[in-house]
This record gives sequence, C-alpha cells and structure tokens, in this order.
Amino acid sequence: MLKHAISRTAWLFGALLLIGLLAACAGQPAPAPTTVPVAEAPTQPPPTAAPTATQAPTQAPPTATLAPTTAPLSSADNCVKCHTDQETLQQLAKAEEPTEKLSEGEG
Amino acid sequence: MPPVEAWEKVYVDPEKFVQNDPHAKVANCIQCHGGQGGSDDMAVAHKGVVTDPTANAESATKLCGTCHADITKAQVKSLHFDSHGYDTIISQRLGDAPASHAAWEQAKANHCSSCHTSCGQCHVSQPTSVGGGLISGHQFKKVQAFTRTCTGCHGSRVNDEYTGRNEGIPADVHWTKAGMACFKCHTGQELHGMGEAGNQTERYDGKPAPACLDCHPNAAPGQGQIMQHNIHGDKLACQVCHSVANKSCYSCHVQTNEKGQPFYKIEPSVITFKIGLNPKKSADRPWNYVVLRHVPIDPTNFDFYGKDVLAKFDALPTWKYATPHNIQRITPQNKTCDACHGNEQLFLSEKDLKPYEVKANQSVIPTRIPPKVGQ
Repeated sequence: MLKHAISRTAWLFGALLLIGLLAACAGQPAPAPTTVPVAEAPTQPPPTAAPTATQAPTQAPPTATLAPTTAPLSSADNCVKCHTDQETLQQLAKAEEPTEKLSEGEG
Repeated sequence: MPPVEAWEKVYVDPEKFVQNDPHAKVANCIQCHGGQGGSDDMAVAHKGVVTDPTANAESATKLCGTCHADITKAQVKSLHFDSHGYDTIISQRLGDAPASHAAWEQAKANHCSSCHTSCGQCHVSQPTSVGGGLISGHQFKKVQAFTRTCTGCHGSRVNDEYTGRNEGIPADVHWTKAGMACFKCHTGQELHGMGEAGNQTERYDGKPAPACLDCHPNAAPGQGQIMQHNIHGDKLACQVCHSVANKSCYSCHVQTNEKGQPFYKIEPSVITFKIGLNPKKSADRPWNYVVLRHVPIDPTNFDFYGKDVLAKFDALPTWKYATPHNIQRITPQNKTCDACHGNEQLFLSEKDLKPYEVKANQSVIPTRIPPKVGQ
C-alpha cells in the first residue's frame, strides 16, 4: 500500500515538473534570426587575369617583393590620373622638335 | 614604321594596364620611373623621371629581375642588351696603339650604343632608336608586334628582305606563305641570350640558331628524297640555294657636328647576291660555301676619331657571312644545275672588290668555281 502511494506521488511530481518547464519555455520570446551579410554588387567587373591583348602578356610574377602596400598605385595617383586622361595628354604632350637630319643614307 | 602621336607615346591605358596588367599590381609608377608623387604640377611631378627604367643592367636587374630573375640575368649580358658583337668584330681590326682603342670607345659611345635594347624597349615601348613611345598603353606583352619592335632596329636589311620591300625581289616564303613573325624562329631563349646564346661573342657564334633543319629535318643530307640535298651534303649552307639578292652596304663614316651631335654618312646600298667561302667554318657551321654580304666597313670609317684607328683592317673580310631573310623554294640559282655551276657572276671574285679590300677578302674568294655539269 505504502509502496503504491510513494510511486503515485513521484509520478505526480514528475508530471508537474514537466508541465512547469513547458510553460516556462512557451513564455520566452522567439530567438532573433542571425544577420547574414549580403554581398554588395560590384561596381566594376573584376579584373580578368589576362589583359585583353592580341598577344599573351608576360607571365604574372608569382611573388613580388616590389609590392610595398595593398594599394600600390596610391602614391602615384597623380601619374595615373594624368597619363590615363587622353584629352589632357593631347593638350599637354608636345611633339619632339625634329632634330636636324645630319645623317645621310640607310641606317 | 608608322609614326606615333606625342600623346599616345605616353598614354597609359586604364583598362589594359592599370586594371589588368599584373605589373601594375606589384609596383607603382614612381617605383620604376622615379618622379615626384603627390603633385599636380607637371614639372614637379616629372622631376627625376626616367622614361626607360630598364636601360641599364643595374636597374633592369633590380626591377625586372625581382620576378624574372633567370631571363634578366642572361639578358643584361646578351648581344641585344650591350651590343658586344660590335666590340668582337671591330676590335679585331683596331691597331695596337692605345689611341686606336680609345678612339673606338668614343665612336662606339657616340654611334653604336644607342642600338642596344632594354627590357622595356621590346615588351612595353618602341625602341628608342626609332623614337620610342608606348605601344599598347603601357601594357607589358610577352610578344609585341614585331613591326613595332624588331623591325624598328632590324629594318633596312632584315625587314626589307623579309617583307619584300626591295624592288623586284620577292618576300621571304615564311612571310608570304605562313605569315611568320620573327618570334616563330627566334625564340625568347635566343633573344634574351639564354643557354648557348649566352656564350655568343657575335651573332654567328656557335650553332646556327635558329637552324633551318630545326623545322625541316628532312632537308638534311641523307634524310629525305630531294636529290640536291643529298648530293650537296654539308658543302652548302641552305641560303646558297634558297636565298636571293640582298642588300650590301658600303663605307659608313661617323662623326659629330660642332654641337657634339653624332651622325653618319653611308654610301647608297647595293643589291647583290654573292656566294663565297665560309669565313665561319666550324663543326657547327661546316659548309664550304655560304652567302656573303658586304658590311659598311672601310679603312677610314673612324678617321674623325683618330688616325689609323683600323690599322688592322685586313684582319677580317669585308664580305661577311650572311643569312638573308628572303628564302624561296625556287631561286634563280637553283632552277637548274648550271644556273649555279659555272656561273661566275654568282661567286665573289676580285672584280667585285674595291682596291682597299682586296687583301681582306682573300680568304672568302673561291679559288675555283664548281664546273658546269650540263644540266
């Protein structure tokens, strides 16, 4: 008799504990979704490995001890800015003065 | 060579070079060319600029050699880079007097040194000797158009012969039939002076490179069905039968004007075809007969720089071993046996020589010409 009473009490205690846990879980807010970074669309197409040339370019050096920074052209921005500007060059570039032709005959 | 506009000579193509050329990723403009960064003023920015940063061995090794070590190491000692072939040949004619050598050194500096090439003058720009200028927006190319590079320097003989610019003389069959650019035969190894080419003291040192047999192995004696190849064996260089009339030059006199500007005067060239004895005969070049071309040497070439500079003028022939770039399968001399055999006009003789060069050429004048065979 006594053995049956203890078993029933233990069962009741376990059931109450399970109900309590379920209730506690139901009351918590749903976890916020983690933010997945979205890749921005590139503004320029990625550079191709090979120049658009009729002939193959010289082989890309595998290692380059000359490379001083991650942005190697930064210290020469003005050079690039001017020398890639066709209009500016057409205004500034001067044809070399033709030197007096002193030589005679085929070279 | 078509002219390049002044602006185009210095135009850097943003797509071809800045964005896509691997060389733009490893060095910036100033690291190679010098100059001042951070200034909008053209004069300030250009202060100290070096237009051809690979023109001397030290800078070429430092810049190109960092990544292309093997090539650069050979290149800075190659015939192309320092033109030491001139020294090899001219020094044999110089007198023993120190003054002769000093005069030659001065003349060479004034007139010959501009004919050397740098890394940049083949891979990035036109040669300086034809005005320089970027070819393709500063893009580095393993192979630039040969019409912008090779023939800039090798023009009046090689290019005129190869592309058929000598009136009445056909272009080379490798050009007309196959459109082959220079690099098809002349490899990077050879042009950079790598391997055996690194030992050359002048153009025709060592084994022929390129050799006709590299591509035509069946033309070797005993290796094919063509009777003439088998009969003549190693007696004739390929060009004796397969090249045609080519350009000979005479008497290039060099001097400077009152401002120190160097210049030359050379006699009009002459189209010739002369067969003679092989002045370079060796195990590598075993032929008895080769084509000869007159080179523009004469005893007074360097008189402006000193008296009797070429005191040993007779040490070498003035008719030089030649490989004319106008190869044909059928030529006037190989149409029939007797087109060549017994044809005195084809063979160099004293009648072809000026008085000052008779002694110098005795070793290349055939003592007898092959007799007619009746075919």
